[in-house]
Amino acid sequence: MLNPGMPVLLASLLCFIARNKTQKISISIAALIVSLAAIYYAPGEEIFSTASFLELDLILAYVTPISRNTGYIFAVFAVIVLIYAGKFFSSANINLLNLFVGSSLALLFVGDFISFFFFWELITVAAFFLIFDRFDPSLRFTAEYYFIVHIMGGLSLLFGIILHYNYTGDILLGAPARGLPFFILGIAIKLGFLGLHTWIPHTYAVIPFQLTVLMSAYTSKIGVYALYRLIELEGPLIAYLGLINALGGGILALKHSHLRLIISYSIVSQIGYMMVGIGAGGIAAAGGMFHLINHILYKGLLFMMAGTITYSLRKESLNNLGGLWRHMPVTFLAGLVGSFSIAGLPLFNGYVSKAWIKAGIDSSILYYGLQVAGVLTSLIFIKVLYFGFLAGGERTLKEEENFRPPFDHASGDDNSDLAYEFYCSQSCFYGRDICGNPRSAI
Amino acid sequence: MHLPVWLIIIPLFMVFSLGIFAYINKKIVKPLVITGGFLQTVLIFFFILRRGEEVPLTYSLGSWRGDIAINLAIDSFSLVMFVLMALMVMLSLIYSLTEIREGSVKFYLLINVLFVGITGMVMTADLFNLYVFFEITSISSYALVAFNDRDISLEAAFKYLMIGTVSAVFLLMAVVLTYQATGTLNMALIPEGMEEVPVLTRQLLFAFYMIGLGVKFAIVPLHTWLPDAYMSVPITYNVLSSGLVVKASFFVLVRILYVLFGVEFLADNMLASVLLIWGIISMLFGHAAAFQQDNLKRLLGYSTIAQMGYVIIAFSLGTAAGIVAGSFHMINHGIMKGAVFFAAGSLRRETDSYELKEMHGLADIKPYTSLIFVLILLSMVGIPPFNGFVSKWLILEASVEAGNLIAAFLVIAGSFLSLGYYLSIILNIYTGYEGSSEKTSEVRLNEALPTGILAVLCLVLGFVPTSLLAVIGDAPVFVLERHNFISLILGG
Repeated sequence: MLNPGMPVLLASLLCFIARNKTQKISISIAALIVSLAAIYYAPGEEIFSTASFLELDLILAYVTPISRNTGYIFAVFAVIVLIYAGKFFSSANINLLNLFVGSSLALLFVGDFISFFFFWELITVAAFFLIFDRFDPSLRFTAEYYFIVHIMGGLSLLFGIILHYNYTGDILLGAPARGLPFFILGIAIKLGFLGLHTWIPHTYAVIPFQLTVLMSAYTSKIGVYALYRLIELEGPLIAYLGLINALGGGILALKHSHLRLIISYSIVSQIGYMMVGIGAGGIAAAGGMFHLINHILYKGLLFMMAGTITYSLRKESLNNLGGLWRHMPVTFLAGLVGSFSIAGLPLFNGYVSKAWIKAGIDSSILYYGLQVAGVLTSLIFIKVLYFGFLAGGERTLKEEENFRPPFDHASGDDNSDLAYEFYCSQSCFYGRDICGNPRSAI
Repeated sequence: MHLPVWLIIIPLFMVFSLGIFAYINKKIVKPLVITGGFLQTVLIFFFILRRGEEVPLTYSLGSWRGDIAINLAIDSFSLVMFVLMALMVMLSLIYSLTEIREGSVKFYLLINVLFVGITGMVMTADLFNLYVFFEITSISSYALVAFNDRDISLEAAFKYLMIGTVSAVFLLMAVVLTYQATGTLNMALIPEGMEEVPVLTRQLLFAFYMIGLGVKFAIVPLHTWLPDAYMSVPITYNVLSSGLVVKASFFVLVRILYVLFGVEFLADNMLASVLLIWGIISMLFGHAAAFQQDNLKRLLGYSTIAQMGYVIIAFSLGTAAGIVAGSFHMINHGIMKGAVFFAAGSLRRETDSYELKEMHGLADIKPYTSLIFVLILLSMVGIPPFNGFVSKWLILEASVEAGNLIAAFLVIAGSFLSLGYYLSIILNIYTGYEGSSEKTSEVRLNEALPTGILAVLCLVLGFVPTSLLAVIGDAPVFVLERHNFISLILGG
């Protein structure tokens, strides 16, 4: 049996023979379901697929509990994105989506540095072509910037791998024995550490909204996964760095009024939470990885909300929005659930993982720092909800020229609502379920 | 077995017979040249595929004894160049069929002279013969650079001729000095005599060889002819130059350094470090200069300089891993550059210019050709699963293993630099098309085929590098341990 990411990678090739986009989407969803099944049935903690490259033995499939859980959410999220915005993707982008998601999935299950690096770079390449649009010159620079930044991270990782390989003589995925700074630089770029985070807002606020929804779930989360798998430091240095990220990202997010820019900076802040968890170790580390899963859920929801607004109004600045709750009630509900989750309201999933992280840290600086970050997060989304949906409710949007009803029901295209409903329920459900049984997720 | 000498006889026969056949019937020229190239390729493949039984072998012209005859030697290290020749000779001849419209007799005559020179340089084990073949290669190169007969190509050819002649004088001086010092020109006998030559003389010899051959493989301060020459020549010569001429000159230098001087001498006198630093400078300069180019061919020329830097770095390490890595990158670079030059030639038919700013949006007209550029970009930067990643990995591994962390780091930095200018080519090709997208261009099979073969090879070698490493894996045996080479020629 092969790596659980393989069906999706295969689907990116199969999509070439599909005749139209509907077929492509069907193939992709089928492949993702096969992947889910493969993840479910894959034996744990056991090498079940190998290959050789030069004189090195590659481990193509090795399932750990963390990768299994992350794998579930990665696969499920891709299905949701296809339901939400399948019709907005161009035909070629469906192929690339499969490549992007497939390599992200495959990366979770490999057990050696070469295949890890292989999929790490494949993600970058796929993302570059997803962003790049030859009919839209403005995206040219976005794609270029994204690519250059990520290739720099990748090359840094490669140098680290070489140093590690030369010192230890094996390429098993694990804490590097040499070249730690290069690993850290590579990973820090991928996960958007403050200072190296610029690609996140630069990309996510500019590219078409369906791509934002898709990409926000994978790229930086791969970085967090790598941080969890690879970096082992004495002492809680990473936790403190994470706190800087959490606070800095929050403050930056608060400054802006462009909808997707705010949510992008909030990613930086939430990544900080995960870093705090991973750096503190123990239950906090489990909480950090659980936060990753939750973050994909609610951040996906929030980006979907932002995407719907972008689609309907063709503007994203909070200065120009307001009073939307009357015209887009489902979107408002989605935004509400997402905001409650990210702010960590009890009964929502964000609460659980944040509680775990806080339970696992013993330093008071970290603890109160996270509380402040939590307040910042709440403020950010109060701002979004208030200025976006509640303030200035007298305006009637239907009279505005540009208004497009969100995913018009009349044309029978109610997919996005379906995705929302599925999603909101999942977000709440996850929260409750885990409350009952904290160990079931990790 | 007289097979080795046929490798030289076939193109030589072409050179002298082509004029006669053209006098009889001009239509016969191209089929004849293709046949000649095909025979040569078959012969080369014969040696590559039967390397277990046939290689290493030595062929003494006139059946004289090994120590007084002029010898041709084929060992595992020669196979590196053989692989390149097996690919480049045939593919570039096929590509040239439609590219060369006027003066094809002249062109094919010169190309065959070039083949004679390169084959000779690779196989010969005699210093003076080496010089002769070196001059044959050079002179045909000068003529080929001037082939297009435009102002710019004449200027480039003149420049190349001047620099090249000075370098040839240096090489001749080196050969004469070697003869003076050791009393022989047989490369198998020189090492013995070389032991008694004063160190200072040997260092001087090193410098002479370095300058003489360095011009041809465009090591940095001696590189100035290359970008100019690349600008105005037929694509076929671009491919042959970056794939064979440059590589053959470096190949000869490696053979001279490691056989005549020996790896210990190079290490003891810091000459290996000189070579290493020179390689690094070459690489960084090539990348940096490529950034500033507006002309696609000039850019690719600087990129060749930079890629030769990688090869120099790998070979200067003086370890088995380094030599395998360098050989592997030599072949990979030949393949990648060949594919990208072929693709550039096909693109040019749409715009009639190699200026990057005039190539906007060509991807709409030529989607598959443009894809080659994307592929090569990924390969050059060292992204798996392409062959560039494998050679980069091998070079990095070799240099870290040899303790040269800084070299390894600069190799990484260099590939990051190369990302910048390759990306700018791609963005230029893929954006900003203004015109009807209805326009389609003819696909010429003889141009698409070589491009496709090389591009597919990039991918294949990325996935199964062992297939090529099996051929060149024994190269260090004849480079690092020179007594193997000596006993091969002298017979035990």
